Amino acid sequence: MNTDGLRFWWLTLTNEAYFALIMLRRYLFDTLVGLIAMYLLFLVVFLGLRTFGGELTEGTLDAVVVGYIMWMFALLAYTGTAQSIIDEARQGTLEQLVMAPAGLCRLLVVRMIVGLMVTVIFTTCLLFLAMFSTGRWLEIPYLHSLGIILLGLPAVHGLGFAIAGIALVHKRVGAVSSIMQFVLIALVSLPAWPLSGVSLLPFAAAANTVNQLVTQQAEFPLWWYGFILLNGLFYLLAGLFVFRRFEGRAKSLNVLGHY
Amino acid sequence: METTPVLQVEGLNKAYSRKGESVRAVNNVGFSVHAGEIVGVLGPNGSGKTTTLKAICGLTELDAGTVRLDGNDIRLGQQTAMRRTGAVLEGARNVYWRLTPVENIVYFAGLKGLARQEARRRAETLIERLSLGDYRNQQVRMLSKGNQQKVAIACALVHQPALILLDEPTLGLDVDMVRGMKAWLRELVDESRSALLVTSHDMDFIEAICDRVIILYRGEVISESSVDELRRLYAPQKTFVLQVDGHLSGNTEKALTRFPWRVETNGASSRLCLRTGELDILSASLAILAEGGHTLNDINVTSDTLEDIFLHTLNQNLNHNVSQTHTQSGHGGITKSMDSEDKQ
Repeated sequence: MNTDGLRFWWLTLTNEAYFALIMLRRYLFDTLVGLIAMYLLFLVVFLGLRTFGGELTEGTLDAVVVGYIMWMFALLAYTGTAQSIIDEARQGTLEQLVMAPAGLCRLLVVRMIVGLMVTVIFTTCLLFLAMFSTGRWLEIPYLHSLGIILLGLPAVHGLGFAIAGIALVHKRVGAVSSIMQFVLIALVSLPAWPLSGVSLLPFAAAANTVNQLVTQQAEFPLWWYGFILLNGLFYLLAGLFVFRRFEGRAKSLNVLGHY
Repeated sequence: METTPVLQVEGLNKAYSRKGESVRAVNNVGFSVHAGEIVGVLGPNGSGKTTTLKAICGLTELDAGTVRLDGNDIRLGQQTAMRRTGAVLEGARNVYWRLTPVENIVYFAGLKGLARQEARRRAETLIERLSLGDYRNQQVRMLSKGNQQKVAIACALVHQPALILLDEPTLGLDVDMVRGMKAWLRELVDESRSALLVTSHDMDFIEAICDRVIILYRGEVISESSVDELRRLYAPQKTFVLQVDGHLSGNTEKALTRFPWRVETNGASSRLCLRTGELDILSASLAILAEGGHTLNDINVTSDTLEDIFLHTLNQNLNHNVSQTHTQSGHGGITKSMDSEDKQ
């Protein structure tokens, strides 16, 4: 990629960050409610489970916190991708995005990166705020866990792209989105280590690795991290492929943006 | 020396499959638009106007045909083509209603690859130019329909595209807004030397700003010419209304029967109406009236509007199609046509 190309992608990235910040500010009430709800849920997990859930070992509590964080990351990744595309189509702005020189697909990947950065920043800040306010500091290698989540999370974005692509043609996919919340819970809870058929499911390997890292301080070979990365990339690319196919189909039927 | 047109459309074909039947939206459509030119696309609902525009900006896949921007096939350089194109296809729905006009313009400028500082500078210029200064910090959803439309157009213009596509830009606007839009669109094209392709049902709007008009009917171009040429080709007609004192004498009435005047007597005056393209009839009739000693009180001459011409052109085509259908029906060769909006 030449300098012009790099400059263009840098401008696209900063432009999407600008857009995300304006939206957070414009929907300030929603943003604040979302942040407060997340903070309260952290508090419930930190304090509530200990008070109401009977005797919990330190490891179990850590696992619950990490499980919750992973599910939240996955849910935000999925809805941030699928729902945002559906919303653009509903608003009438999707056609303008298709006409962007970057192309819809690449533009959405840039949006995905920006969304991921926002989620990481907010979640990390709130988690540390919750630990500070409860005085209970988790014994989890946060950066290590975050790194694994980020390696595997593109798989969930891939699912979002695939569903969004289907929505471009078939429009009504609300029911699928509702079911996805539960599918994601299953995916973050499945035993995917050591390598088995389950490991091939999207995000399952990353989620289970973090879980075992926290609860059992397990150690993993280097190739396993490579596998998580490949799993993430495979589902992301597959999702983008499905999205492209349905985008083409929507263009062919002249229904792109019709909602 | 002939310059390369900014936009060149050749052999555009698009059909949809509906309930197993092939439905043709555009059929062998071709035309070009040069720099600094405004071309209007007219046609009834379902004639293929929107499909044509969508095909030009890559929102609809073509079955056949080529779209060239500055001589280059857009399919081979979509990224470059989109940097040089600005389009408003869904009116105010094309912008983010929760963003202010400035935020919208800056965001869309960024999408086209403009740096933030430059985008802001251009946004300010457009805001002033389109008299949106008082609304710069209001969310678009709070603005009037006309101002929302202005914001959408500003977003499409911010990167100074070589080609501008506007689909029904006057839809839902009041007379004042339309008048304003006519003025600044013409000004803008004259200054920027962009090529503008615009569809509209508003004949006055098309007549006022367009250099050329393309008439689409059932997905086919049935006419392409300048507004003046259209007038000359299809309706070189004028309507004359003469107001004469008193009743016409028997001799005058007899002399006037040579011409198809419609004579109405109203109290103490007579009114003569005639629609014709032959000016000689008027001078001969005036001479007959003067000979009969009649005093001419008033004379009113009106030329056909673009709307009359458009309807005339369509009727002509419809009659042609009906006769063709009669000829073809024995072979079962009737083609169905529709536009995307009808399909939904």
